[in-house]
Amino acid sequence: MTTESISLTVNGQPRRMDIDPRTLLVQLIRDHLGLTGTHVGCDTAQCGACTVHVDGRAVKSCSILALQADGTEVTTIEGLATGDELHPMQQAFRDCHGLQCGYCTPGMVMSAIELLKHNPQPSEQQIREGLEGNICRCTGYQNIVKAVQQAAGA
Amino acid sequence: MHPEGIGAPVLRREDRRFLTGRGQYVSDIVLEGELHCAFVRSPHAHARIRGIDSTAALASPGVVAVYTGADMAADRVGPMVPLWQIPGVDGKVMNEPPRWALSRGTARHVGEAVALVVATTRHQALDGAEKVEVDWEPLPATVDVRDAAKEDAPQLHAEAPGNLCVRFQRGTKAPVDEAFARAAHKVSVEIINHRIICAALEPRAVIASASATRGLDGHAVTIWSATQVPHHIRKFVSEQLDLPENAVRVIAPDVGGGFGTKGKHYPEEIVLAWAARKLERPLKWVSTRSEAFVSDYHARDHATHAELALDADGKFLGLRVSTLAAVGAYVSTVGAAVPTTVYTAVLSGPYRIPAIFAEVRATFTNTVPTDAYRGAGRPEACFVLERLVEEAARQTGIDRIELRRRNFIPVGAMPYATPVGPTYDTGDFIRLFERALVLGDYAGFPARRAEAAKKGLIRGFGIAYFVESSGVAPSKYAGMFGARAGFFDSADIRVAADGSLLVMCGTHSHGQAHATTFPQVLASRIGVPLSMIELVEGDTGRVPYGTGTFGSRSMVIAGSAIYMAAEKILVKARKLAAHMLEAAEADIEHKVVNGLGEFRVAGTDRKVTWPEVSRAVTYAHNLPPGMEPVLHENAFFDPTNLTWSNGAQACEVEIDPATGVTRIISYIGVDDIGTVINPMVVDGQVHGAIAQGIGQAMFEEAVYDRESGQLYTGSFMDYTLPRADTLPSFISETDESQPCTHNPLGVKGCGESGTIGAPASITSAMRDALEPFGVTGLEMPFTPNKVWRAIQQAKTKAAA
Amino acid sequence: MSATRYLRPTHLEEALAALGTHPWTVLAGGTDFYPGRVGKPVDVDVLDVTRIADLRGIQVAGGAVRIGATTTWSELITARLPNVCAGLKAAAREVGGVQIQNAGTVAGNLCNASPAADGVPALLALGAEVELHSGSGARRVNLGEFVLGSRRTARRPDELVVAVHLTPWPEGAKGVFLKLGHRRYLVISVVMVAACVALDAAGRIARCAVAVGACSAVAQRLSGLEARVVGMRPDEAIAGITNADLTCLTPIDDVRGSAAYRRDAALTLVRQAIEQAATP
Repeated sequence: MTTESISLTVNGQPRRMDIDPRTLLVQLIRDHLGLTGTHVGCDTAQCGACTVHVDGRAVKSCSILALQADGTEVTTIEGLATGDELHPMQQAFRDCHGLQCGYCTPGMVMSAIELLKHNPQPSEQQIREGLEGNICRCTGYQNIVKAVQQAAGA
Repeated sequence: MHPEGIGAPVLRREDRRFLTGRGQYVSDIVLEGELHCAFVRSPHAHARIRGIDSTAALASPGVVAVYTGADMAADRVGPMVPLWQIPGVDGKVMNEPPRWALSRGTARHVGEAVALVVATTRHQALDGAEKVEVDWEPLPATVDVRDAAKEDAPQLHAEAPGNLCVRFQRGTKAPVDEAFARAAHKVSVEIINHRIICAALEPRAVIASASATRGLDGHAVTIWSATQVPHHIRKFVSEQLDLPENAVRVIAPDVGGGFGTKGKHYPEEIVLAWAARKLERPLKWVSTRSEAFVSDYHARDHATHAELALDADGKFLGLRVSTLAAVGAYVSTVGAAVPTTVYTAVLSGPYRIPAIFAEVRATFTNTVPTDAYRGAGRPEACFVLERLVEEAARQTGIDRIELRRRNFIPVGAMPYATPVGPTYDTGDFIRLFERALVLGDYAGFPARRAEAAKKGLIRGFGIAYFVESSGVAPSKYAGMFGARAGFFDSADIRVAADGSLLVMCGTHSHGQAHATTFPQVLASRIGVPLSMIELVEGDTGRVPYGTGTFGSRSMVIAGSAIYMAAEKILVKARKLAAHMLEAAEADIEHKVVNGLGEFRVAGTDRKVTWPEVSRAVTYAHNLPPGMEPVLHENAFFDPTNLTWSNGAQACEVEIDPATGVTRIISYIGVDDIGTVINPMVVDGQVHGAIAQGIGQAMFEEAVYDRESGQLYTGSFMDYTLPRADTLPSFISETDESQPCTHNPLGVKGCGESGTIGAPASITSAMRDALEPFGVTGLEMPFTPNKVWRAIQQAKTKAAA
Repeated sequence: MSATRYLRPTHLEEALAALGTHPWTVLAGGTDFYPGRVGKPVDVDVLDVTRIADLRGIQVAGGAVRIGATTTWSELITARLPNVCAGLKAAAREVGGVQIQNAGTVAGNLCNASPAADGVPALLALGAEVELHSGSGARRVNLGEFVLGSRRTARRPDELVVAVHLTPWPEGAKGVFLKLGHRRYLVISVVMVAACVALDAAGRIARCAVAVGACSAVAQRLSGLEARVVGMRPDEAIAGITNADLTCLTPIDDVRGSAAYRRDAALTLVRQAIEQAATP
């Protein structure tokens, strides 16, 4: 097996390793780095559970090769909280009961953060459209929308 | 009220773990030395296996082993026997053809597992699976239940002539015939309740680890499975591997959504357990979404003919129901129970119907087996009944709202014995119904409809009422219908010297917030802060007895067991408190003051606190004669009846006739779930249930090709789940005026309401919108294409 | 099993040289690449072109627009473009969800050649040209001639798409994109319509382009209709649009919709699109 060298920053920590070029970014994050908060919910880039930030932009880590993230800064759900203090979006999800089984939650939170970055005061409809790339099967989305509204107001 | 106790909207204690990426799902667990598994699955709906050649796969890099059904047969692994063996007419038990975890000789649906490939990495296992050569002999297949029940249909099993699994009857025929004979009005409907797929966001996953020497914990095999029912899985695995039940340990860690579909036994669990014992290496399998679509149990899939008899005033006289229900290729865990005992038990719904007779033919089809998915039998029953009511309104000219009002079982008639068996203890249906009409502003609807019409849009108002058999238990009833298990649940409470409590329950939380709501019950009863209570679930190695989480049962059954165990704890604690306070036991009262428990000599200020009693009983320095140390009690709750959750669902839709695109303008759910333990969590459950019900009504449909038996809707590209921007905000309310009378908490199950009611309420709204335009025969899901076609057909008919 | 190779050049020449000698799978955003394999391991040699600076970015000069091949949909949405590109931006917002727009590229959408690719109708209506380079030279191809069929394009294995060019429209021209799917995003569309309209001083149609996607193997321009409506007032033009204008479409029946529905929905959407594009 050929390997390629990759170096990137994950949650503020520089990482350097040799990987199979076939490795997807989500596999690098979960299997190589043991950051299992990023989830896989489908195999057609539909569900958004694997959403992470690459250089500050939300991408589906199941649909890009790890090598494509060479030299970038990656943030996963594990990199949001500061010590015991949750990121305002994480806190809002908790306050508004925006999660149930927790499986879509990391991707949903990462997408919600991106959404507010580009539109700090979104309408309900804009929030709903902005979360279109993420499936939640538990909540009916209502409390997720509420959480994003709370975070926008915070 | 305890600040964190029953009725408080306490924030979830489990959230921090999930929000910081520290949840632990099966696929997150890595065992040392683990190997990875992939399954070879049937590409055919029905085919004989002439042979399987593993040579190329075994030569593939990293592949360690390839196993087939023949290997399992050689090891005498038993068949997958369902949990429910349903009695049919004349007391004959259902036809139950053997089901093997890996096919032996014939595959009967696309996606059936036929071989296991074990390799060092997941990629290698998948590569290896591609290289297993199966010599298939395709056979004729039948995927539509109406086709499968025909005389000339391809036959799936020699043991099941006519593809019949079971012919099941409920109610009495003669009074129904008599009711129809004297009826002023008779209405009938033909209904398809289409097949849907659960698609919990976490794909299923299994890890099995085995040791011939039974390892440190004494278990022959330990299984981690994304399941709602670890105790049932323990039973099934022990049966098939012929191991003592206590030699098997099943752990369900965090599970990413269950919805009933993960409350069943699957082939992968037994295949991995068996292979792990053979290889003495931990094995892991994580489903891809693609294989989930063809291997997770599907749901619904009924074809029903139903008739309702009414007198001249519109009072219901009799109901006759005949249903063909697809069980799929094999009977799965609860597969035969859902369309028989579960479905027919709620056919009276909220209405007084003096005579009911139902017959169900559960039928084999070359599809993934069906089983319980949120609602499970109740949405189908609600749909039949509400469709008949609306049809009756149309035919008799009685307004559909008024017709319901005339036929609701009045609150004064409770307890009410239905002609299909169950007795409802409580319920004020008319009250919730009227409330839903108010919340949906039904009075203002004509004006809104007229306003929309000015813009060329068509509005409709929908309403439905359901009664749900929740709190699934009575072991006695389960036994009557062929269950091979009890349906009680357990709570085991252990108090430490500092007064903190450890609670162990036989249920499992996969989104329902048990770690928050169960302790709320205990906090209220004992008088401790939530931070002093830990909950353990989902591990048969730590919780010896349990049934699991399904059928909106956890709070009803396990919550009540917690309450009962807490009572036992308090009895002993009160004895000790009397001893400590040198008072008579009869004079000791237990009170919760500002959320903290204390034992006081009545009418005095002499007291001991909960932590003081806990320490005293655990140190055991000075106990009354005969008292054993520590506070440790357990309880098993097996109620006398199911709980009868019920609710009204109302909605408004707006259709663009040019494109067929439908928008849901508003959705209202008013629920009677008895006492509310945590209103925030209840709201979340209600929202999610509505979303799944709307999903079936508007978007979701599992479509098989009728000729080839291939599943067309095998990915999220074609199987459309509701997304944030295709749903409205819901209005949800609970009504606590009718607590359940046969559990100590007064609770009724709350997990499924909208999933049961939404298909009926949305259909009601769609028909209300389109019937004035001559549209008939429009069925779920209401995709733009279908709605447009129905409008076009009506136009053509009108022009002709 | 042959080892999978991964090459990520930083210069165009390097990429072209590689393509001249080996059948590389060109990869940019990758948003259709892995999903297209539905869970199967990657087993092809990958040429990642995202680090080639020449392929990136948008230039606007005198109404003409050059969109670098690896420009992402998000970049396109935020770029300052002439009004006539409003439909293209609207189409960009329909590509997947935000995460897909952040990674997926314009040229990737074209080269993938899905019958339901969101970007194609809008670019067709704008009269886009595709610029291809190879070791032996460069050429420009009309987008209508570039996409040959479902998953088939005119790109030779040794060629690389370098940019997409849009020729100028009269000032004041407006573009519109409408899509009908089960849902607005993510699920493959049932029908898509893109329209660009320029009006003359009298408010009559001076130039019109309409393209329909998902109703044939390749998105189609309605050239007959386009020519016929020139000189008409928008309302007369719209009133005169009939099924006869859509004869070049060959919609199919599938799980998502029937052919008759697609045809009728296309007609409705074509009327709406022209109406909106003709409304200043």
